[in-house]
Amino acid sequence: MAAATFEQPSLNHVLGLLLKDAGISAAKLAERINIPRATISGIVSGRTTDPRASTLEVIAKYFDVSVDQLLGKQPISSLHQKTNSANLVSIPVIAWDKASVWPQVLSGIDANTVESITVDEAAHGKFALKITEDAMWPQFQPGTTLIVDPNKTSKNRDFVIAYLESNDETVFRQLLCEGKRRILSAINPDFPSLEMQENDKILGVVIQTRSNFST
Amino acid sequence: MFKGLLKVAGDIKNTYGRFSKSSDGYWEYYLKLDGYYYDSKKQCVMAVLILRNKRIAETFPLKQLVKDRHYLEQLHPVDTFIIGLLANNERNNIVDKSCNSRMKMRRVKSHNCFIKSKPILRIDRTYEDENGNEITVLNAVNLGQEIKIPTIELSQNPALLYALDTFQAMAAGYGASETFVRHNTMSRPHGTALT
Repeated sequence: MAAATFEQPSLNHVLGLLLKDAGISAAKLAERINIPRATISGIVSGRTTDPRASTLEVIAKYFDVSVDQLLGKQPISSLHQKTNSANLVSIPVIAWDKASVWPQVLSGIDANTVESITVDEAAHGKFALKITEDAMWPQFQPGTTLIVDPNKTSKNRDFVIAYLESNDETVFRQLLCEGKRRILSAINPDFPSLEMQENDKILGVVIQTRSNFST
Repeated sequence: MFKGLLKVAGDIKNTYGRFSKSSDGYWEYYLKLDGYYYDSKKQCVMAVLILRNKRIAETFPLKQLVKDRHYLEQLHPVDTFIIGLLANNERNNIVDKSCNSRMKMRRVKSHNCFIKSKPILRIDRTYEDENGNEITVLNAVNLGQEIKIPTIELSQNPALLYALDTFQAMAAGYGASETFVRHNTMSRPHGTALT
């Protein structure tokens, strides 16, 4: 059986985040809830993995969370948002007809008026596009958001955003390299493969896809 | 021909209520992927679909089947995952020509679960890790938890596929096949993980 990883945080991780969020030290917490400092330190450091139920209840009550949330079995929504927001950056979702001039679009963009999505990594210079056509169906369904890295070098079998000068069209296809030929292949058999010409260019490589319900 | 058969099925369900919405609010997948084989005359992979609980079968070129949403949505997610896997393999000319007739068809394992219920997992996002493996992030809708799993390993986790939407499972099949193709490690005939 293959390994599936559930991202359930450990007790010491959750308590560490709660302390950080509240802006107090382990020693201060111990003093406020009248529990030995060594007990709290042991939990925060991970030495004590299975503390007494009475200890957990007092800590959970202090932070106004449930014991299950403290143990990481349930998410703490407010904490989740706060801890994740530190690493999140917004990137704009641009229109397909603007993708070929993405540097100008990114530089002149008004963050308040344009649709954007949050990504959990340094996304300087990246942009997103929303699939509107069926060419890559069924692997990529219409409505799916593509996160594009224009700085990544494209290689054989990458999913890319390409600009075709002859049609003045930007397309999402799989890049297949056969010797010097570069072919843009669609997943949907109804759409023919396109051979890239000299003036056609790859605008970026798709590094992540997101289903349409998560933005 | 097959549309005629579906009409027959429609008549049956209207008469007996076999395929209609059951009292507890669930529906059934009334088609089943029975197997697949390579048709050497047509030079394409054929999928054999059967009508559940009936001795009615029909073959379709895989390329045609993947375009027919009407049929696909009547198939179990495990079946559509296999169809996605096979379709992308065929697209990349990876075909098992040893099963070159209907008689030598590779049968797909019969999954007894045919109740259609609301998906409890959904594919939230996919990305490539540093080794070029596609990773699928599944979101447990009601738990607010995530499962990160290499897409290729979904073929060994039918329980996860059971919980997906039919079309998302098919997309995962394409993704799994793509990882196969990229690593060029097709050491066994396609689809055998689930057959």
